[in-house]
This record gives sequence, C-alpha cells and structure tokens, in this order.
Amino acid sequence: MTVKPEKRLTKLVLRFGSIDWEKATAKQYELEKDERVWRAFINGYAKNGFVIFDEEALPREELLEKLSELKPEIRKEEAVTVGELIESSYSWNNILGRMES
Amino acid sequence: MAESVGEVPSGEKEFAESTRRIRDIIEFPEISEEQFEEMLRKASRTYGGPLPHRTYSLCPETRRVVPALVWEKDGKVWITKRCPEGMITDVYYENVEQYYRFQKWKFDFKLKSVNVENTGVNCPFDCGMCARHRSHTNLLNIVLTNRCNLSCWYCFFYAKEGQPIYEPTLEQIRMMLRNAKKEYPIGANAVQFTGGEPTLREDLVEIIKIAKEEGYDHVQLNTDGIKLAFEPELVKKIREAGTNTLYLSYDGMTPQTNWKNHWEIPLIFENVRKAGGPGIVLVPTTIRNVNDHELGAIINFGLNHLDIVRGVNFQPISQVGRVPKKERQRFRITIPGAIKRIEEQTNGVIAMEDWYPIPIAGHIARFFEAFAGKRYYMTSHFACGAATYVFLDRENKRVVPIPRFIDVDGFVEFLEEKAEEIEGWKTLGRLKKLKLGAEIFMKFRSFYDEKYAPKGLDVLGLIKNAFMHGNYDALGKFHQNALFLGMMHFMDEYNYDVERVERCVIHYAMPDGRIVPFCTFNVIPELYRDKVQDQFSYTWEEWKAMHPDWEYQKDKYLRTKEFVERMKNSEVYRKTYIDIEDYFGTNPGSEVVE
Repeated sequence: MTVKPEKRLTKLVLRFGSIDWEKATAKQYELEKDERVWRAFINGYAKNGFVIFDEEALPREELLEKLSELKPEIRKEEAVTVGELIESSYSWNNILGRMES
Repeated sequence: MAESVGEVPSGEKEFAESTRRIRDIIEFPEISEEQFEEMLRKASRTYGGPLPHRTYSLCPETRRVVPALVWEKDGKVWITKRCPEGMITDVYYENVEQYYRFQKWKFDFKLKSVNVENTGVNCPFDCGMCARHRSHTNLLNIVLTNRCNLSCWYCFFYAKEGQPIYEPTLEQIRMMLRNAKKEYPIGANAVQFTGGEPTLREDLVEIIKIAKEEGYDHVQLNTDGIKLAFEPELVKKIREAGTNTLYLSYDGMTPQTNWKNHWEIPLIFENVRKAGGPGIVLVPTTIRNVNDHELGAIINFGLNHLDIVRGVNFQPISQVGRVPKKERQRFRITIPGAIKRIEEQTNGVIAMEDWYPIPIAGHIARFFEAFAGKRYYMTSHFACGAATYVFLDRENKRVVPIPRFIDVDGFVEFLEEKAEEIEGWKTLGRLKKLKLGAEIFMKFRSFYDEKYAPKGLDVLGLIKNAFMHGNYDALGKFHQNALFLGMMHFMDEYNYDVERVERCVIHYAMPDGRIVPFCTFNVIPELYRDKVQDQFSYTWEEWKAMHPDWEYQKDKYLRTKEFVERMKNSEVYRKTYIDIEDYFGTNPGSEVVE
C-alpha cells in the first residue's frame, strides 16, 4: 500500500571508527538501495552520518550489521514520521542563502 | 516489412528489422591501465579544464563511483574508467573541436536551497538537490502514472499486468510543483508531466490547472499522442487548461522507424490545428544505425508543419542498464555525431557551427538579470545539450539558421561585457536603462547581417522593442517563422560524468520531498525512480479495489489493420507526409511509405 504520512521512522545519527570515501560511497549505495531505508548519508571524510529507516521492516540489529565494517557508534536517536521527513525536505525549509546573509 | 499492426505496439519487430543492416560502428580505442593512470595523474581537474580531464563516473556492474578520464584520440573524445569489472571506455563526444567550442561557453550557477541534509560528497548516491548542485530546476518532470497505452519492448518502467501502480495524488503533485517553485534563489517555471503515458490520467486537466495555480508559466506533456489522435475534445481541454507544449515522441519518417505513432500523427496534428494548440515539439530518440539517416527529413517535416510544430529536440540514445560493448558501438551516437548527420542530410544548410551549447544561455541570462532583473539561468554542462533556431523564408523557400545572419558569439560577448558594466553600477534608473537599451540596439546592427536574414522577419524591430521598450510581443512573430532545434543527450552508466549530473537542469520531483537530476533518477533507478515509486505505489489489488471499473487492457492501444488501411488512403495522411515541400533539396520525404 502507498505509504501513510503518519508512518513512523527512526533516525540514527552515527559516528564511524573505520571509514574512508570509497567505503562510504559503497555503503551509501548499499543502504539507499534498500527500500526500508528512507534516507542515508555516510560521510567518509567527516566520519559521521545518519540513517533514516523503517524499523518495523528493518530491525536495528540488521542495519547495524550492514554497517559493522565501518565500526558505527550511535550518537543520537530520533523518531520521525514520513510526513515530517517530507516536510523537512522541501526547498523552503532549507535555504542556504539565509544562513549566509 | 515488419509492423505493429493488429496488436499493442511494442516496436520489437520493427527494431529487429531496422538493426539487421549495420551502416557503421564506432571503434573504441584501447588504453592500458598504465596509460590510464599516467593520464589521470596529469589530467585537469577543474570544470571545463583541457583534455585529458579527470572526473568521476559509475561502474555499470558493481555500481561503484570511480575516477574517470575524459580524453582525446583521433579527433574524438572518450571516457574511460577502471572498474572492478575491468577497464571500460565509451565515446563521450564524437568531435573534439566541437567539444572545445562548446566548452568555451561553460557557466555555473549556485543553487542555495536543498532537499537533503548532506554535502553531496557521495554524488550521485546521496541525491536530492544538495549544496553541491550547480543549476536550478529549468524543467521539472513529474511522473503522473506508470500506466501506459503502449508496451515498448525495451521499457522496464511501465506497469505490466499485476504489477503495482504508481499514481501520485493531486495533493502530492501540488507539493512537488511547489517544492521546485520555491527553490532559492530561482524557482522552476516550466513543468513537464510524464509517465507512463500522462494522458491516461482521468484528472489530467485538473493537474494542468494546478500547475498554473502554482505559478508555472510553461506546462508540457511528454506523450506518445495516441489518445490525442482519437479524442479531439481532450486536445481542446488540455489546451484550455493551459498546456503550452506537447513533447511528442517522433522517432522517424516511416512506420518502421516511428512505430509508436506514425499512423496516428496526422490525426494528432489535425486535432491540434482544430484546437489552436498546444505547440508541438517533436522528440526523436536518435539511434545510430536505426534512425540516424532520417534526422534531416525529420527537420524538413517539422518545417512543413510550422503552424503547429515549434521545435525538434533530438535525444541521442541513452543505453541504460547492462549493455555489451558491441551494442554500444553499434547504437551509440553523441551530439556532434547527430549534428554531423544533420549537416549531411540538409546539404549543409544546417551546419556544425550553427549549433550552440545550452549554457550560452547562462551568459545571456546574466545580462538580463543585470538589465531587467529577470532571472532564469540555463546552466547545464556544456556537453549535455545543444540548440539553434532555423528560420523559414517562405518566399524563397529557404531555411536560414540564426548564426548565418547574427554574429551570436560577438553579440553574447558584448552582452556579457555590458552585464559586467551594469553590475558595477549602484543603480540603474529608467533614463540610464533607456540609454543603455538604445546603445545595445545601435551596437546590435554591427552583429546583424541583413543580406543573409530571412525575408519578412523584422529582427531589428524585435531587438529594438526588447531592449528599448522591454516589449517582447514581437517574439510571437519570431516563433511563427522559426523552428527550434535542440539536442539533449541523457547519460547512461557507460558515459556517466558526475560533473555533468551536478549541473543538470532537468529534474524530477519525487513524492518523498526530493528533487533529483534526470540522470540520477533514470540511470540509478534502484535508488531513485523505482525505489521511491515502489514506496508510494498501490498494489494491483488495492488499485483494482479503488477503481472497480478499470481494466488493464482498456488502457492499451490496439492498432488495427483497418485503421492503418484507412489512414494509408486518407487525405490527412497525404497532406501530412506526402504533399510536403523539400526544403533541403534532398528529397527527404521519399522514404515515406504510401
């Protein structure tokens, strides 16, 4: 069924102990390919990132197992709905120019 | 001759027959790993640097992002990368001179609004408009449905029987439109509704009205036109709702090369004429050894229907998916390759040097921002697209490309100098503006050669009105006698260049709040198009429950033998294909089957 806006997702903010750009892009692809992952960003340079995923469909243990070679450490955890994620993505909520002025 | 008659057209038979004969193939050069590494070390790195040039690409099998080399050999430009699956080379541009001529017009724009909280460091795997992107949305695409009335053999996108149906709600469509409209500092102003086949949506008229409500000046439908051939009322309704353009699939002059809608085109044209629009842009997907011998004929065809055809936009084939080298050598064509064929097939009337790359518009836009405060920057990568205008001198039956009577390079360079000058001023009052407009008009004369200009077109009047009075009404007349010619080469895994994708101007809005470039959406569908549409699709059972009267087969178009026979003998068919002028002296309509 088409997704409902009130569907709950989990956001894990992560720190990685073993990572470089090459590993990061490969893992980014692997995670993003999974339909249960809604957003991911693995930064191989800053050694941090986050994953927003559907924990009902993708157990946290399975996700952390996927990330294990990067030695992940959970720094923060948040709950977010699909509706909130969509809203937070809109252009008008993310204007870089305002930060500059 | 193999033909899709008495069945839902899929093109399979026609393609098999077209490709039995091979006219030419491109030999890809060999390069050793040592040579590759050596060149990569010395390669330029900044956008628009000389060849060899270092960029990033995708591996077709393992989907890794890897360093890639854009380099020259034997007058052609190649792209090579070392993937885990081995060294992969493909042709990037078939003419190095054209590459350098276009490179001169590169232009970057900084987008300052994003959809994702990342830096784009894993580009193109972390997509949504991000801080790394260098163009605003020039044309927004919204997929209205994955239902389709045809069953193209190569298409993995349309819903087969029993598969999930993707069809965003009106509210989702409105928010996707708004998302691109609110990009900062410049929002989208043009939207293309696509599919599947967008005309299958019952609420299409309402959707077009929503686009207008959301402030889009330009609305176009990417369509095969089949429904429009048989429903004149629908053409009228979509026009009245505000559709500006039908971006109409048109792959060739014969039922074989244009198996999608050859027989229906005369009816589509007739219905558009009766409705007084929308304007038509013919879109030939251009494939070496398949339809590249008909490009001049397609332009000639457009010129013969200039009352409704506004342009021809060639799309050199994008070979998405895993494609063996032999097939790429056989079917690959690039922008300079297509332009060369057009030069040959129009007897030199439309030549290589008549074309300009898309980002030249960025230089012109800079002037208009300084002069008139109007902003729309078309700043794609210089290798992504090319365009020109040709004028039809009806009196003398002559076709004249714009650069034959306007020194485009000189005039754009002059406008850029002026932009720089104005940007240095603190204010631009009315009097100063009028004075500047007059100066530009006077100077324009030195870039304009009346001797070669088409008769009946008041170019000087148009320029005078635009620069001195800010009046663009004369542009309407300009369009009545001019045919836009464009080239847009979408990428695939084999010629993928991350520098190109980060400058992309043709984007897709997704219902999850992101806007992504065309060549991430379609080339990496497992991360974007297919994944997100799966998340937002209805299962077959849900769809059927929501639409109890709907039947899959009713969506499909069955081209009957009787219809084809009727069309063959019809006046409208003759008028459309047979009784047409040959503007290039090459008898380009001769291959049309009577």
